[in-house]
Amino acid sequence: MAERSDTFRIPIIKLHDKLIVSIQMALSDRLVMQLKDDITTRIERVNITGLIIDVSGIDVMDSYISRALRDMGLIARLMGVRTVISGLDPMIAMTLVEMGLDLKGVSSALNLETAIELLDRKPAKTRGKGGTV
Amino acid sequence: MNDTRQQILEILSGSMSDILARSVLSLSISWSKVDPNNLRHGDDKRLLVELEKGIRLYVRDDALQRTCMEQMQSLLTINGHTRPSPVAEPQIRVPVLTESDIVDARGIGRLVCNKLGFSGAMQIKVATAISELARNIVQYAGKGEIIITTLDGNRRGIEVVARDEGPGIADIDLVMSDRYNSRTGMGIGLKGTRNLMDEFDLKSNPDNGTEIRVRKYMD
Amino acid sequence: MTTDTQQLQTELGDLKTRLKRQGESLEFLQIISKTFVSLSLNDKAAICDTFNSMVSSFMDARKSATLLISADGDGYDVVSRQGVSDPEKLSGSEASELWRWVISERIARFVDGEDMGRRCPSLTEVFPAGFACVPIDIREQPVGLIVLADKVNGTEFSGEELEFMSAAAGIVAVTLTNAESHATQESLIRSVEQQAKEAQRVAAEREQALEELDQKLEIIERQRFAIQELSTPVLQLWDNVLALPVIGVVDTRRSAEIMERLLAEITEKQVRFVILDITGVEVVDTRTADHFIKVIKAAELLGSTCILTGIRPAVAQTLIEIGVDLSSISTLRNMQEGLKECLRRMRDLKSGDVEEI
Repeated sequence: MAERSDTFRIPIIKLHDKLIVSIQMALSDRLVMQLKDDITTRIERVNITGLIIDVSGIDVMDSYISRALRDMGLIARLMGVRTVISGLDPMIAMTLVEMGLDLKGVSSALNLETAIELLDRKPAKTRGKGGTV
Repeated sequence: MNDTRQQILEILSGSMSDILARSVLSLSISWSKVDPNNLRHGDDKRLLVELEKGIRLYVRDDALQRTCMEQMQSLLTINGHTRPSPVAEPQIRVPVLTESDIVDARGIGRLVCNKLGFSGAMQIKVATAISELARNIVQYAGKGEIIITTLDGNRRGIEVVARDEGPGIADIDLVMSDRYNSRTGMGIGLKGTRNLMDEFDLKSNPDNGTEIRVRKYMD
Repeated sequence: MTTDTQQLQTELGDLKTRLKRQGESLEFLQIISKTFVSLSLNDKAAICDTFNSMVSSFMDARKSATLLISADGDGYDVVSRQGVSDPEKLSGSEASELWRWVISERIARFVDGEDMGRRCPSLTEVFPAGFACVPIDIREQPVGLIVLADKVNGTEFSGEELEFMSAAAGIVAVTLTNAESHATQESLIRSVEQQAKEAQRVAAEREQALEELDQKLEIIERQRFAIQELSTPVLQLWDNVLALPVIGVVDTRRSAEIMERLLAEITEKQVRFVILDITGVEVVDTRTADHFIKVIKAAELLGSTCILTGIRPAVAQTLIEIGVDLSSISTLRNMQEGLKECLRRMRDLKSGDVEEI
C-alpha cells in the first residue's frame, strides 16, 4: 500500500476549458498532497477556467481531507479558477456536517454533468449592488 | 455470539409446546419492549416479569414452573446483569507508523462495522473517527496503535482506542475548546470525532503519551 | 320287605331327582354367567332384570324381586320384580327392617309366613306363604337381596335350591362389581378425555389468541412504521424540487432519520432544490434548530439548495430569543413561496445568471 501510494497519482483530465479530477479510491495523506501539487502545476501550465473534483469514489472524508479539498478550491480561486466538488456521498456529507466541518469557498454539484453546467454559467454577480462581470 | 433469544426459547420449550414457547417469548418481548439479544442494565428484570406471567399461565405443574423460572432467571442475570461489559471480544490491533496505516486502519474499522450490521452512515462515521485518531498518532507521536473492539455486552457497538507514547497533550481542555485551532487542525479533528461518537474519553500526560477511547453504539 | 324296598326305591328316586336338579342347577349357573359375560351388561337395572327373570324361571317361582340398598344406605330399591304388583310394600320402612334382618345373617334362607307375619305384617299380603331370600354381597358387603316366593308346584324351597340361589347371587354380585368398576372406568376415561379435550380447546384458543395478538402487534408495528414514513414524507414537488414537510416533534433520532432519508433521496433523484417546510413543527429549541441547519448544510454539500419555509411566529420568536443564526439560510413564508423561489432560481440557472459560485 505504502509503495503503491508512493508511485500512484490521481489522474487529472483536461476537458475543453476545465480540469476534471475523479477520485475513485481511498485517499492517503500522501495522495492528497500529491494531488494538491499536481493540480496547482496543471492550473499554471494550461489555460482553464474551472476545476471539477469528483469525489464519488472517496471512502471517508475526515478533517484533513476536507481541509485539503477546501484548500485546493481556495488556491485555484486565487489563480482565477472556480472549483466545484461533485458526487459527494450523502452519508459522508452528513458526517462532515456532524463533525462541524464544511467546504466553504467551494461549490457543490450533484454530479459531473451539473458541475460542468454550473461552471459554464456566467461568473457570479456580486450580491446587492448588481455589479457584473 | 450469544443468542439469548434462542436460549430463552429452549428453556420455554422444556415445559410447553414450541408454538406456545414462541408465542410467550414474542409477547414478553412486546410487553417489556426489551430485546433479549441486546440486554441493558435493568432490562433483564422487565423481561423476566413478562416471561414469568407467561410461564405461570401455561405451565400447569408447579415444580416445572419453578425450574423454568429458575433457569430463566439465571440465564437473564448472566446475560443482562452480572455479566461484565465489555466482555473480552474479538479485538483487532492495527499498528500505526506511517500515514498509509491511516487508510488501512479506517478500512478495517469500516469492515468491522459492516460485519456488525451498522448502517452505511454509521460505518462512515466510525471510519472517519478512526481516520482522525490514526492521523493524530502519525502527526504528533509518530508511532502508536489503533485497537478496534467489538462490544457485545449490554449495548452492541464498537470501541476504538488510539494509543501512543508521544509527547502527550499539555492542555486537553484548550485543545477541545471551541477557541483552539491548531495550524494542523488537531482541534478540529478531535472535536469532530467527539461529535461523531457516542462516547469520547481522552487521557494524556507527558510520560505515558495519549490514549483516546471512543465508542459508537448500534441503536 | 316290600315296604322297605318301596321305601328304598322312593329314596333312590328322590336322590336321582335331587342329583338331576343339582346338575340342572350347575348347568343353569353356567348359563347365567355365560349370559352376563356375553351380554356384557353394564347397567345395574338391566343386570338385575336379567338375573331376576332367569332365577325365578329356574325356580318356578311366581313371585320374585331383586332389591338393592338405596344410594343413601337407609332403604331398599326394588330394581326388578316379577309377579309382585305393589313394589312400594317391598321398599317400605317396615319391609326395610325385615330385609336388614334377613341379610344381616349373610345366608340364603326361607322365611315362613308365620315368621314374616310377626316381623312384617305388611308383607303378608304380598308373600302369604313366606319367601326365600338370599343376600347379594360385594366384597363381603351386602348390597341387596333376591326374594323368591310362591313356587308353581307349591313346594317349599329346599336347601339345595337355597344353595343354588346363593351361587346365583354370587354371580350377580361379580357382574354388578364388574359393571360398577366398568362404569367408574368409563366415567374416568370420559372425564380424562373430557379434560384432554378441554385442555386442547383452551390451548388452541390461547394459541389462536396469541397468534391474533401477534398479528395485531405486527400490524401495529407496520402502521407505526407507515405513520413514521408518512410523518416525514419526501415529496417530489416539481421537476428538480423535493419537499419535506416536517410535522411534530423533532428529536435527535428523528432528525437523524430525516437527514438520512432526505440526503439519500437528493442523491438518488439528483434534485437541485429542497424545500424544508416546518409549518407542522410547533416547538423549536436550539437542538431542533441545530438539526435543521445540519440538514440544510449537508444538502448543500451535495450540491442541492435548501429553502426553509413555514416558520411559525412563535417559533421565529424563540429562534431569535435563543440566538440561533439562520441568516445563511433562505427562509420563506410558506411552501408555495418556496416553490416559486425554486422555479425562479431554476430559470436563472437556465438563463445563465448564477448568483453565487
